[in-house]
Amino acid sequence: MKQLLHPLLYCWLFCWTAFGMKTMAQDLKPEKTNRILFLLDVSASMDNQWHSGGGSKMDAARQVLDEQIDKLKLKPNMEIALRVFGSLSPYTANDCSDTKLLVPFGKANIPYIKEAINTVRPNGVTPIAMSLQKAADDFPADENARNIIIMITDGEESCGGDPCAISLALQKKQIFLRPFVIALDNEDAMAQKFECMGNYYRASSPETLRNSLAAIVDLALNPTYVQVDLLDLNGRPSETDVDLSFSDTYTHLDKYQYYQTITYTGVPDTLNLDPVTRYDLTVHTIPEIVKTGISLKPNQVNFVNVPAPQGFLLVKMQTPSIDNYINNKIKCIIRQQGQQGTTNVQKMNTSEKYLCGHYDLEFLTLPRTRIPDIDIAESQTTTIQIPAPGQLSINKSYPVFGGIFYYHNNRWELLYELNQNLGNESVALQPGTYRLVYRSKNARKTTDSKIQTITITGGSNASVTL
Amino acid sequence: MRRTKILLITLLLALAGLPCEAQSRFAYQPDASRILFILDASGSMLNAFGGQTKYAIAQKVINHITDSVMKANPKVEFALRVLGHQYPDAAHNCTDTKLEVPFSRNDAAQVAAALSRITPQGNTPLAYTLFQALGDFPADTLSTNAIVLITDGVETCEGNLCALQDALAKKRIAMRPFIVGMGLNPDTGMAYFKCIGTFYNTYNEASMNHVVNAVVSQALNTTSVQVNLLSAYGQPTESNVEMSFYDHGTGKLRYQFVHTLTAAGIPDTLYLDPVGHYDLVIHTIPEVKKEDIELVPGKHNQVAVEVPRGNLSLEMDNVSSGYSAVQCLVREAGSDAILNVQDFKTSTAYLVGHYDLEILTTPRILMQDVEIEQSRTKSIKIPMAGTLQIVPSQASSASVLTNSEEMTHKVWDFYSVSTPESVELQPGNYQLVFRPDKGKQAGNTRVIPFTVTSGKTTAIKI
Repeated sequence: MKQLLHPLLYCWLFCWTAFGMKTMAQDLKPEKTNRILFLLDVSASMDNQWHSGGGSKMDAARQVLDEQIDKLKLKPNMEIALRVFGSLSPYTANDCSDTKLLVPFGKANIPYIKEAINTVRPNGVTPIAMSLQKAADDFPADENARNIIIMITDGEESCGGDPCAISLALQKKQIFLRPFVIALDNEDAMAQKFECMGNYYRASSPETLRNSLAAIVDLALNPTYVQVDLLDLNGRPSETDVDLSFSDTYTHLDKYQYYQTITYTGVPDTLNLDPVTRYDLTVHTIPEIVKTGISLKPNQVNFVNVPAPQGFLLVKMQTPSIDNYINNKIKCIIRQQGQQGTTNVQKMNTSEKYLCGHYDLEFLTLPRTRIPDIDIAESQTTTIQIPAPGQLSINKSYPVFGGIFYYHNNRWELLYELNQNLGNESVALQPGTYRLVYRSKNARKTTDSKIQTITITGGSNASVTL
Repeated sequence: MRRTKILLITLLLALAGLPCEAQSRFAYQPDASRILFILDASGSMLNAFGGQTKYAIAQKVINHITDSVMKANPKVEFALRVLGHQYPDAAHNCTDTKLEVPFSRNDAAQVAAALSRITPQGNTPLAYTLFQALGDFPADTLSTNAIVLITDGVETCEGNLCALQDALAKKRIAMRPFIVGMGLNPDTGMAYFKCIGTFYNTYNEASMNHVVNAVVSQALNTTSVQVNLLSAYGQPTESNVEMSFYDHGTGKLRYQFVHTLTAAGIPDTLYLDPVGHYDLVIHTIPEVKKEDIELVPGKHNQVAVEVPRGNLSLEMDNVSSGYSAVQCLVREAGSDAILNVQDFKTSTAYLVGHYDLEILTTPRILMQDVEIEQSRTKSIKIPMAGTLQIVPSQASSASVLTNSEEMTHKVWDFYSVSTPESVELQPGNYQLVFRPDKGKQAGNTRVIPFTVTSGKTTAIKI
């Protein structure tokens, strides 16, 4: 009860509202209802003894559940339900539809659940996939609820279903959170059969079952905090004002967006994330940093360290260019050294923030201006200036085939193909000497080709008449 | 023995100066053709070559060719340099070379007069003479220049033709002579002169006449070339593309043309300098190179290059004014290097093949392995952008995110924004994520989903 007064819990309840950011992330909403569906395996084998001795698995499950329900009934905003599988038909009948909601969610149903747990008898087979599918309908339609499944089973699917696919599909539909699965007397080698269904726990005795269940309730219902430390080169969490996206590792659904903030006390903000899954974190620096499979521990601040030292890159013309249209076309393609693909496209006369490191720059001037190996240093602005182009007006007396060439690496390279139509053209060229090679569209002799040499001065106009 | 035994007449034809070097208004329209005869007048030129001395035959052949060419084509100019005539063999003078008649119009008579007054006597400083000959050509470059060397033997002054050629190549000077030996052992002559030019042997006055005529006719551009730009179907139907001819040896540009089909639809015939080998670059996208093309002098040469092309047309829907130009980076499939930057609303020809496109919209659009086929137009159509305008009520950090391939990516960062700002975005669904600078709490982060429509402005107050 003292937890109710705990300031962290207040924050916790407040921040559950962050869940389901698809609509509106961090809005204040009414407190959420936690609904826990216990999904209990009562297949015939549950009557077997633990490998370690000490009674049947069914007896242990009854006792541990009974105790845990007594604790849960005291919590606010809490509802419980019970579904079992393998209770209706004997093992020999191989009844693969043998799954039943014994007690649905509702107020004041605890006595019924306790009674059902104590009276249900292990009997049949293990249709886990079918049970998960049916469980989807056990939760009332309520956008303001957290739907939790805790499954206790001593065997794997025996009806040919694919419980992992069903579980994932229902998580993706946001029917329930990632289920908890306690496997009784499971071999380690079989772990992956359950890990894909949900958060996997292994119990080999009544005691470990009790501990597992307690740990699950602790994780599912208690506040969890995350502090993402974006580290500078000195390992200090000083980088800030970066967008963070958390998505569910398993479903890939977007869960949270936060702008990383350094609080007035100089440390990064503490974020509130639902603990019942793992997260992939995308730090929206340039380039983006992705950290996958982040799992959270309850009742504490989980620190996520991401080295993200950053500096600014300013790209501009040495002198103002001729007009905005040209400025807009001269973008800078930025590539991280050693990486494939474009890292960013930056407009002229702007400054953008990058992770520290080495980048290759290629400006879309004519010819393109390549500036390799720019080192962006932490907290500094690296300024790259390129000469402003000049503008060449090409006036045609007749339509031509041809192009503008420049001399590069001992070869003449085609830079710009002239429009075949009569219309005059205007081309922005970097300062330098160029050559127009062209021929009247109607000429029938190669030797009618003509060459004109043009010199372009930055920031000024030149014209040529063909 | 320093005095050469075998009388040779070697025609050495070399080029100096290039038609396209200066700011010529015309790509290829020489005002003149210039031929420099260099005549060996070493003592051995007085030896007999079937009834007459070698010198007498050389004199006769040169007189005949200069006379007949000049009558037929007054634009041709001749000059005469002589070696080994000023000092006796015994003097062993290794700088015995002199330009006896410089270039000028109608100079056949001067050449004839000089030849008749010279008496062979000395030795044979070939390399030195060739080097000196480079200065014999006027500095203007609107001519086709050639050197014709007539000699009766190999170097007697320790000059080295291969070293000379190396030195000239380093200075990017082209010298690629034809050498015609008179009665020389053909293998010896070929081996000795191969560094500097092409060697022809002659055996008598008749073969001498024939070879000199052939070489001069080459110098006068009677060697023709037809460049066939082949489509994917092997037909020479591609045209209207620029092409550059480089000297294979020196790398210097010789000609630039726009390829042309005649009215009959076949590639037209060019008259290129037949001397030397060419590297041809066809300025398609990407370029196609054909290296070390050797022209057969005096013949019609067909050079075939495969340049199958198709078009890439970049189109945009819902176009209205006021939006920025959009460019597309074109790369060869799988390559990192930008091959071309093409503007939207244009069509450009590419060699057939596969290309990766990166369209510089926000967010960028990647299209991999786009195939361009012969004579087809591949159309890539994208919708025009719309505008997001954010109107902040207080200073905030704001960015635009989108979801692709189950990942959230930032497509635009406003950084800190306190006055209205806009960004052009492709139509689609986005999230605006922002947080007021005031308050310093990540928990104040807000997410607003929004939709951008082509050509329209979506305004969001934050």
